[in-house]
Amino acid sequence: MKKLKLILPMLAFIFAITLSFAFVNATADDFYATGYVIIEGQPYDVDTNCNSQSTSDCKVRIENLSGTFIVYDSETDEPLKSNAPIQTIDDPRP
Amino acid sequence: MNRHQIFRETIVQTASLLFIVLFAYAGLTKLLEGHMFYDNIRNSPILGGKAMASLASWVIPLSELAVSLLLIWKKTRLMALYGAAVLMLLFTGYTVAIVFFAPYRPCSCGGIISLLSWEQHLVLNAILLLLALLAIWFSRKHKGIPWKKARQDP
Repeated sequence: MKKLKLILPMLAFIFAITLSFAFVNATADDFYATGYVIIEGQPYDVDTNCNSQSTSDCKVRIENLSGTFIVYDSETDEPLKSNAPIQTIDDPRP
Repeated sequence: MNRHQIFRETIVQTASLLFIVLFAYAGLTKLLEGHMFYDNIRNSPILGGKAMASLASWVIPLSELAVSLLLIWKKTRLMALYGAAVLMLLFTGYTVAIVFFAPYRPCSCGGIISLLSWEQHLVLNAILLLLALLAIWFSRKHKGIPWKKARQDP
C-alpha cells in the first residue's frame, strides 16, 4: 500500500510525459500555421499564429528588416488571413 | 484514520495526481515547443517583449516540472502544493488580464488546452486555483499544522 502511494504519482508523471510527446507535433500542425514569407525574392518558412478569422492578409515584421511581410500558405501559395495584430518574428534566413 | 481524515487525504492525493499530470504535460510541452511559447509571450498584449519572453520561456516550464516532481513524494507535497497555487495564481491573473484588459485576444496555440476559449481557460484556471488552495488547507489539517500560532502565556 505504501509503495502504491509512490508508484501512482510516478505513473501519472510518466503518463504526462508520454502525452506531451504524443501531442506535440499534432498541435504544431493544427494550430500554428506554417507558411512562408518572401525576402528578396526567396521564400523562407515561418511559424506564425495567423488565426484565419478575417479577410485581412496575415503579415509579420522581421527582426532587423524594415516593413511588413505577407505570410503565404505553404500548400496553396495564397496569403494566410488573420485579424491579430502584426507580430514580430526572428529572421528566418540561415 | 476516521472518515474526515480519509476524505481529506483523498482530496489531497487526487489534487496532487491531477497537478502532476497537468504541470508535467504543460511544462514539457512548453520545452518541446519552445519557439512557439517564446513567440506567444513575445507577441502577448499583456506581457510582450523579448526579455520577458526569454525569461518566461525557461522559468515557467522548469517551475512546472519542478512542482510536478515535488508532488510525487509525500514529504515535499505540501511545498509543491504551495508552488502549484502560486503558478495557478499567475496563470489565472494572466487570463483575467487577457479577457478583461487586453486590446486583442492572442492565439493560445499549443497543447490540448488550446481547444478552449480564453473565457473557458479562465474558468478552468480559477477552478484549479481553488483546488490547489483546498488541497493545501486539507494537507495542513491532516498534518496538524495550525494556521495561527498558539499564543504563549508570558
